[in-house]
Amino acid sequence: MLKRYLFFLLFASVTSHAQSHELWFAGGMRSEGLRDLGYSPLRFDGFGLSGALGYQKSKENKDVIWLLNYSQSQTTNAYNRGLTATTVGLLNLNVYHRESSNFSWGWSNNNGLQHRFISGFDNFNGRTDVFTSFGPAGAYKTTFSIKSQNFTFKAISHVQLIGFYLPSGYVASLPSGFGYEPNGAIKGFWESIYLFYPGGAFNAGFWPKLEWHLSTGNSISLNYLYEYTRLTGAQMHERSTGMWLLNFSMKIK
Amino acid sequence: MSAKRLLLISAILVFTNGLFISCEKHLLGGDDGEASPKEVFEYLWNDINNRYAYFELKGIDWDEVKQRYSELIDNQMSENELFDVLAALLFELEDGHVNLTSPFNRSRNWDWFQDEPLNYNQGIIDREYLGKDFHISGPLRHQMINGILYVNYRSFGDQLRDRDIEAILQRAENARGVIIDVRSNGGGAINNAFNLAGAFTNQSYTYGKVRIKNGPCSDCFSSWTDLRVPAREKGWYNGAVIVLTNSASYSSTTYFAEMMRQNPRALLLGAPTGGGGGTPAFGELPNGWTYRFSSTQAMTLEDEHFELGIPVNVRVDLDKSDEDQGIDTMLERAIRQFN
Repeated sequence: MLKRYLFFLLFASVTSHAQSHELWFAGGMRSEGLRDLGYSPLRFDGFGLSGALGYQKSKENKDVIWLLNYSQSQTTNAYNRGLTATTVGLLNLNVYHRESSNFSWGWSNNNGLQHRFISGFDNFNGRTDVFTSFGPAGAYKTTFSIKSQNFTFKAISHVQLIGFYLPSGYVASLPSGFGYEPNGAIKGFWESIYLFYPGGAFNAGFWPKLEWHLSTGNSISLNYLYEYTRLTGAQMHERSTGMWLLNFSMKIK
Repeated sequence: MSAKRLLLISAILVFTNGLFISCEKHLLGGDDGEASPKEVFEYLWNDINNRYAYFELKGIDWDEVKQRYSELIDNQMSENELFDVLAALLFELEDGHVNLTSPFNRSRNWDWFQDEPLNYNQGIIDREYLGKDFHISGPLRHQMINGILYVNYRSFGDQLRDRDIEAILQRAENARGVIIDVRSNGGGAINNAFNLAGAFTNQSYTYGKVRIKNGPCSDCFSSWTDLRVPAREKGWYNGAVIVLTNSASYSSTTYFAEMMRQNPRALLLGAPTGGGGGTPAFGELPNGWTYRFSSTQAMTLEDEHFELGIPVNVRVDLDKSDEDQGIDTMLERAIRQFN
C-alpha cells in the first residue's frame, strides 16, 4: 500500500511540477446535428469520421493545449435530403492550476471553419461559416492508479464570448462582401464580418477524457468532445456535435 | 485509488457519451414532425417575400397575393390540394425560374414561351439543313451551308468542352460566317455560355451587370457587379456571327444572347429571348417539398432587365407557308445576311 502511495506521489509530482511536451494523434467518429435556415428549416443529423492532431505543454502551474481537428459527416433530414458537413477546428486552451485543487481555470480561443453542401440544389448549394472567438475555460483533473497502472480523468469546458465570424451570404454561398460585390480582399472581409457576442453568436464545448499512462511516458486516452455553435449571421446556422476520439499521446520532451 | 473509482469515472464518461449520443441532435429541437398546410404556406410565402428579386419589376403586390391564397388554405386539405394552391401562388410570379417540387408533381410557369410563336421546327433543321453528314462536336451539331458554318446547340446544360469549340473554330476558318442557333435552348450552365461567347472575341468585355438579394427588405441588394465575357486564349473566330433566338431561348441562353449582342461582330436575329435573368436559389419547405426562385437581377448595359428578354437586331418569324415547304425562314434570312 505504501509502495503504491509513493508511486502515486511521484507520478503526481512529475505531472504537476515538471514541464513536459506532448503530441497527440487522434481518430474517431462524430455525431452531427445541424440546421441552416439558408437551406431549410429542417434539422439534419448523421455521423462521420474525425481526426485530430494536438499539442500540450504542461508547466508547473499551467497547461497549454492546441487541438486541430477535421471531420466530415453525412447527414440527412426527415425527408432524406442529404447534406455533407465538413468542419475544421483549432482549439486553444490555457488553464492555470494549483496543487491544492483539482479544478483549474483559464481562457480559450476557438477557431472553426464549417462547410455544408446540400444535395439537389443546383445553385448556392455550398455554405460556409468561419469564426474566431475567445472566452473562459475550466478544467477538472484527477489522477489515480490501479494495479500499478496510472490513470487521469480530465474534463475541460469552454464558453466563447467575444470574437468575429464570416457567414455565407443571405442567398449566396460566399460571404456578403465577396462574389457579388466589386471588393478587394480587405474591403470584402470588412463588409462580411459579424461581431461574435452573447446573443448574436454562441459556441461552447465540453471535453471529458480518460487517460491511461503507459510506462514509456506516452499515454492512450478516450475523449469525447461535445460542441455547440450558433451563428445568427445573414441566415441562422446552428450545430450540435460530438466527437469520440481515441488518442495516442507521445511525450516529446 | 480503488477499482471502484475507476469504474465510477468510466461510468460517468460512458454515461456522458451515451447521454450525448442521443442529445446532440435533440439540442437543436425535437424531431421535425409533420407540418400543417398553414405552416407550409406561411413559410413559403415568407421566404419568397424575403428573397425573391423581381416583385418591383413585375409590379406584384405579394401581400395582396397572400390575402387571396391564405383563404384557400385549411389544415384539413390533402397534399394534392395544398400543392395546387402553392403552385398557383408561385405562378403569380410569372417566372420560369420558379418551381415547386413535390414527390408527385413539379409546378412551373412556362407562359414566357407557350404564349409566343414557336419559331423553331427541329424536323426541318434535321432534314433540310443538317442533313446526313453533319458533324457532332460534343453537344454541338454543325454543317457547312453555302460556305457558312451553321452550329446548332440544344441545351447549355450539355457540357461544352474546349475541344468542341476548337472543332468549330477549325471548321469556321474558311467560312464566310458562322450562325449559332440557340432557338428553343432553355439554358443550363452559364459557364458553357461564357466559353462559347469567348470563342468570338480576343478581348474580355463587359456585357451587363448583376446584383443579388442580401437581406429581407425589398431593396436589400448587393451592389451592381459587372458581367464580363472572358476572351479565349487559344484562338478565336474574327469573322461575322449571327445568333438565332426565339422566345424559348431562356436563362443561360438569354445571357449568351446578350453576350453576343454586345460583340460588335455579332448580330441577333429572330425573336427576343424569353428572359430568365434571375439566378435560381433553392429552398426546402417544412414538409420536405423544395422550391426555387430568382434571387438575382441582371441588367444590360442599357439598363434593361435580362428577365424581360433580350431584343434582337433583326426581327424575323418562322413563316407558316415556308414551314410547310420545309424552309426555315429565320435561318434563310440569316444566310442571306452574309451576302
